[in-house]
Order: sequence, then structure tokens, then C-alpha cells
Amino acid sequence: MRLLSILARVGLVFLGAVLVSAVSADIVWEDSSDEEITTSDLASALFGEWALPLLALGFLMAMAMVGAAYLVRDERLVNLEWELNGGEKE
Amino acid sequence: MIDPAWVSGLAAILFIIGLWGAFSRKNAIVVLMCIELMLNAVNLQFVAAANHWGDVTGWVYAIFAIAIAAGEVAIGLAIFLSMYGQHETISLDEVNLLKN
Repeated sequence: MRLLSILARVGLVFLGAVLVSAVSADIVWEDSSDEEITTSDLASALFGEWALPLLALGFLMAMAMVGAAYLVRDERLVNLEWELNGGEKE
Repeated sequence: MIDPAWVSGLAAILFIIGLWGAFSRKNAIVVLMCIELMLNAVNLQFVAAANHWGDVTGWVYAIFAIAIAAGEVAIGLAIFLSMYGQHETISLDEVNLLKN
């Protein structure tokens, strides 16, 4: 188990070294563009080409929020009664 | 402007730190933070590439990744809260069942 742990750490360091050398190699970043991206371009892309994925993402986020609210719901009787009475003391 | 190769190197280092943390830590919140670190490293890479090549797609991907990360945190914290309510711990070593 100890050996496996050491091997995993060595593997992570190796992966890190490979990743850093691969992504910062000069050949990757050779040809650049002088084109400036503006927020207007971003908005056009989001509401044009990417409109459908944006809608899907919004739906996914709404589902996630509903799921999170369901997971943290409080079912204690005193709180249920408080909600049923509209938050007012009897 | 900063050379995108340096930004990429930083993103790779951040990603490895996040990966190491996600593999080695036992506290669920720390693991979640490490996953967020990995997501932010990828975002950094997207933005560096988008800025370098003048392509808006990288920005769009970064925005999508940020939104998904926000949803992931909401769900993750809700799960941890529920987990703590049932097991009174959020140590990933001690919580090994998906049922009550």
C-alpha cells in the first residue's frame, strides 16, 4: 500500500512535468492573432451560435438548484408548522 | 501582455495541485475545493488560448465551465449537509454507503 502511494505521487509529479512542458511548448503558441475580442463579440456568440447550449445550461442549473433545495429541506415538525401558519405565531 | 505559455504553465501546475488534493485529502469540502481548483485551471487555459488566437469560443467555454462549477458547488454542499445530518461526519473514508 505504501509503495502504491509513493508510485501514485511519482506518477502525479511526472504527469505534472509532462503537462507543463506540453502546454508551454513554443510550437503550441507559434501563430497568434491580432484580433481583439470584445464583450460585444462574446454576447453575440452567446446569444447567436451558442444560444441553444446556453438554454440547456440554464435548464440544468435550474434543475441543480431544485435538487440542492430538495436535499437540504428541513422536515422538522416545528418548521413545517411555522411554514403552514405563514410564519406567524399562533 | 503576459506570454500565454507562462499562463498555460501556471494552469497546468494549478491543475496538478488540484488533482493531488482530490486524490489525497479525506475531507469532502477540501476535495470539492480541489476539484474547483482544477476547473479554474482549465478556465485559465481556455481564456489564455482564446486571447492568443482571438477566438471567442474559449471565452464561451470558460463561462459555461464557471456556471457548471457554481451548480456543482451548490449540489456538493447540499450533499455534504445531508451526509453530515446522517453520519455526523464528512470524512470520505467513513462515508462509504450511498444509502441511509
